[in-house]
Amino acid sequence: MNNRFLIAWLTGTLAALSAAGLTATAAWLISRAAQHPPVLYLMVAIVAVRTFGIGRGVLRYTERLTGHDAALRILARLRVTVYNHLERDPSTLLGRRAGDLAARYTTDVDTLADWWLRILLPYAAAFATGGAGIALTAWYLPQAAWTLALSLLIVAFGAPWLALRHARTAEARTAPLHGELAASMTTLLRHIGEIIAHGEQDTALASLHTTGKALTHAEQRAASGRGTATALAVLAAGTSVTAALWLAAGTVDPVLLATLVLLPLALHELFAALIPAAAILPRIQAARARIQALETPATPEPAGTLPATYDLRTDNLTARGCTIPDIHIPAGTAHILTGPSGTGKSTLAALAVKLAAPTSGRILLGGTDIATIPGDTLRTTIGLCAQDAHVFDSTLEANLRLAKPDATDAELHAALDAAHLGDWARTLPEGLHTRTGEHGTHLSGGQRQRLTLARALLADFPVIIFDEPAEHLDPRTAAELTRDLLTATAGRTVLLITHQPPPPGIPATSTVTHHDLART
Amino acid sequence: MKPFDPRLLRLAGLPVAAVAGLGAAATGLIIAQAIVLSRALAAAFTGTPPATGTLALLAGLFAARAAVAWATETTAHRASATVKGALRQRLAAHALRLGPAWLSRQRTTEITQLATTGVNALDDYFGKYLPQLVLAVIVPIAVLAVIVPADLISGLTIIVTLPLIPVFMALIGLATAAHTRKRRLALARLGHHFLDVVAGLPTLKIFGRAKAQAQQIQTITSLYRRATLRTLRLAFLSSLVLELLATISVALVAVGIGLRLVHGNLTLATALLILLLAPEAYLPLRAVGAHFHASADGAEAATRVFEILETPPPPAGTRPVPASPAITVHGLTVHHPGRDTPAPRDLSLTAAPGEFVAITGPSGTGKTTLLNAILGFTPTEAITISSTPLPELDPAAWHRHIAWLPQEPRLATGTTIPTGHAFLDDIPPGQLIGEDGAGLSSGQRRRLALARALDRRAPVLLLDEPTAGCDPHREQQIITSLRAAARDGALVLAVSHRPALTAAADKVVTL
Repeated sequence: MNNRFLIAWLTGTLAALSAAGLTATAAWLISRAAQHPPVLYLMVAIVAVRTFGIGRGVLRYTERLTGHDAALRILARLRVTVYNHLERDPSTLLGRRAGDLAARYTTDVDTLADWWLRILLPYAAAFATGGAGIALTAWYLPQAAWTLALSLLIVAFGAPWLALRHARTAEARTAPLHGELAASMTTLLRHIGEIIAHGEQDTALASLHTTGKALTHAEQRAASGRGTATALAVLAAGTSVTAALWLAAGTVDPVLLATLVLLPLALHELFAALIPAAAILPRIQAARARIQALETPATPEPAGTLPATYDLRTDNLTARGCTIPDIHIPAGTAHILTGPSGTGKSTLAALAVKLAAPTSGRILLGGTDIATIPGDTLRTTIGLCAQDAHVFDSTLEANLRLAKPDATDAELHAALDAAHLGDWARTLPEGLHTRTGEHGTHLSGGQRQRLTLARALLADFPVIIFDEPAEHLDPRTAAELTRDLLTATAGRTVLLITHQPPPPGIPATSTVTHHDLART
Repeated sequence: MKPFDPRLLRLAGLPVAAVAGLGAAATGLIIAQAIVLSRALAAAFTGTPPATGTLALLAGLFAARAAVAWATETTAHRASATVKGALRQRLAAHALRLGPAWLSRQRTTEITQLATTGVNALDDYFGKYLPQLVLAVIVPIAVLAVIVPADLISGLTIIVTLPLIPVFMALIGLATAAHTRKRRLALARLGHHFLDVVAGLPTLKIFGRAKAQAQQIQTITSLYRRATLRTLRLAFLSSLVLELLATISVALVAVGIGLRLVHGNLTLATALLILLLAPEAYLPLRAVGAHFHASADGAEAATRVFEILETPPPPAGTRPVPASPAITVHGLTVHHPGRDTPAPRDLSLTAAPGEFVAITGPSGTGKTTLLNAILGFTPTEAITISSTPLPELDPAAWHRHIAWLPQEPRLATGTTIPTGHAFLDDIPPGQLIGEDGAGLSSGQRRRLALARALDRRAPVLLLDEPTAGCDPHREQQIITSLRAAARDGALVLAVSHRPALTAAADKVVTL
């Protein structure tokens, strides 16, 4: 991996050297030619100019490809590292904002790869080339080397710093207005019918206009700071060139004069390209901080074993600000837990499968505290069909086989039937090979829900928790499905969590508790 | 994407003209700087050190270039802010003209995003791309105007090679387009894999498959890398051609003038001037290429906004609405995209002024759709208002006759609490209402919206679940209010599941 970056850096540096070299040798060639020497004396310079002319493009192409190759290899490593951290403690990936967080970690990893490709590599190549240019200048004209070095440093660090500082101030001014505007726009569209029906178009537009105008003003004020970094870079280049001309005239060999004066121009063109790259620095820092926050020290896994019986009991549980009342589900019975949303029902589900840890209290499986059982072992016994169970962007079959890789087609269809999805699946032209789409978007909300149920049934867990299994379904289908779920899992220890009242006609082995779980 | 959208420039107005003017000034300064520098160098070559005045002039030219660069970015971003504001406002206004029927075919989040982050991407279009586009037109012409009289051969070299750049880029683009399109889907799927696995991590853990995925991520990312590199090898070709043509041409020009200098056909000052100016002719073209992709997002968003702005609003009727309208629905059938069965199907009903009609039935049978159709949001010929077909009525006038309680009513910040409604007894009259009814429970929000609808004293009341989430006592109070409204001559049409409400109605229509 590091070799690839070395190659990318080398080719990048050579490409930049070619660009500067083209200017420098061409200036020398012309100056020497002005002394009317035999053409033979110019041959080396002519070949050099032509080589640099071709070399720059070709080297740059090689650099970009090897650089991207190296960055993508780093990406693979970063992805695995981040995944392993998340795997150890996936509790951040639960709950309402889980999708956003997953997306953010993904972007963060990509952003970190940008650090190598868009900052480290260009800076390293620019500095190597700048160093060579400064060394050449220092050899013939030490005074000019100082101004060149200083002006290049200003462009490499001062101008990006100015640009960043400006961007932060502008962001602080406009960010709240952006949020306000998005909210106004959402409200306007969500209530578009009511606004039209009540003839409130003008007031709605006026309120949007007020925010929009404030934003436009803030952006226009921010605009005046934008060009400062560019202007500074031009000034630095000017200072360097003018100083070189002033210092070189009369002191160096006239043949070298044009080279020493034009070299700063070429180097400054190279360095000015660094300014926009620095703009992504705050994003990289934020991404790095978030990824580093994931690095939790590995805690030793407990060594307990699974109990012989599977009754489930909670004991003084609190987690995520919710107090969960004690419940007891005897082995082989079903328990329906109802209560309003937001009162810790889904938290209880996550705690029971050890995807999250309780603040205090215990969950006992067959009398054994699950804290003493390794999570992977526990989850071979306790299963969960979460409200937001993920449907992978793959086929129906692959999503189902996750639960039981060696399942027969008959088993797959039986699971689908139990989840009221079998008839639909049989009508599909591609059958179980039908693609589910990103987050299951090719399916309706109800179909997604039932696919995850089928998957949970297929895994055949001795203890299973269903979190809102009938969400997204109309009341009649919901009642039917709930009854069928309880029938299909008869003899297991079942916890069914729902905010709807339990349907009539549930099997006799089930008990119903309404827990008004309260937030503390 | 269009490289150049006149509609955007018209919206920006004067600042775009200023950016063009600044581009011309920048070109002038580049040429002046090259002339001063080449003359000073030629003089110094023969032993005459540059005068203080020359040095000051050179420094001044650089300072002026810095000022022009600053002014260009500032003006361009001002233009961008103006255009973004105008696009947002026009989009919202036009969405209100197009109405809910149009919006139901769109994704609301997409439209919001378009109006916010979408148009924000125009910053790159105006701030980076447009100024470079201006320079890409002006600079080569001006540079050639200087070089051709000074040295025809150098001028011809540039004239021949410069147009090759866009030609080659277009050719490469054409040759690789099919290939890139084919790749893009596979690439997107591979790139998306990591997100899919991270989002599904809790699910993977539940089925004991999480640990095995780490290896899978490594494998898929390797595939992704290889596929990406295959695509990049082609994608970078166009910039390779661009750089090659630009630098080789400069090298050709440099060698050419060197040789002509040896033979005494050229002065050193002219040769240096050409050497300084030749790269400038290619520079803006290269910059345009680099910024073209950065600006594509913004331009695409703008194109999409213009597309929406050019969608014609539905035709509106002009006929006046009678003071006490009656509603007749005859055979209303509405098909919904993605659903096999229409809802409602062949629905007929009549409702006269002073009548309290309840609409009931299981969810998904088209109760809300019926209200939308009566409001005119679902185009239909099946509804007549006191013998006038609904589409012929002046929609604004019709809406003035209606008080509507939608399923999710809108409560703006600062809504005042209406007085005189028994069912609002749990909301203190001075209660402050935050954005979208913040500070109220969902039941309170609905009842507050209902009170406001009643206070409109409209002859037609369209109410979607007016008593949802109410306790029996308040429900009874609401029913009393609705009965009172009907007694005062209003036509009350209420969609409801609640037996108490349907029992109180004059007529119940079951879907």
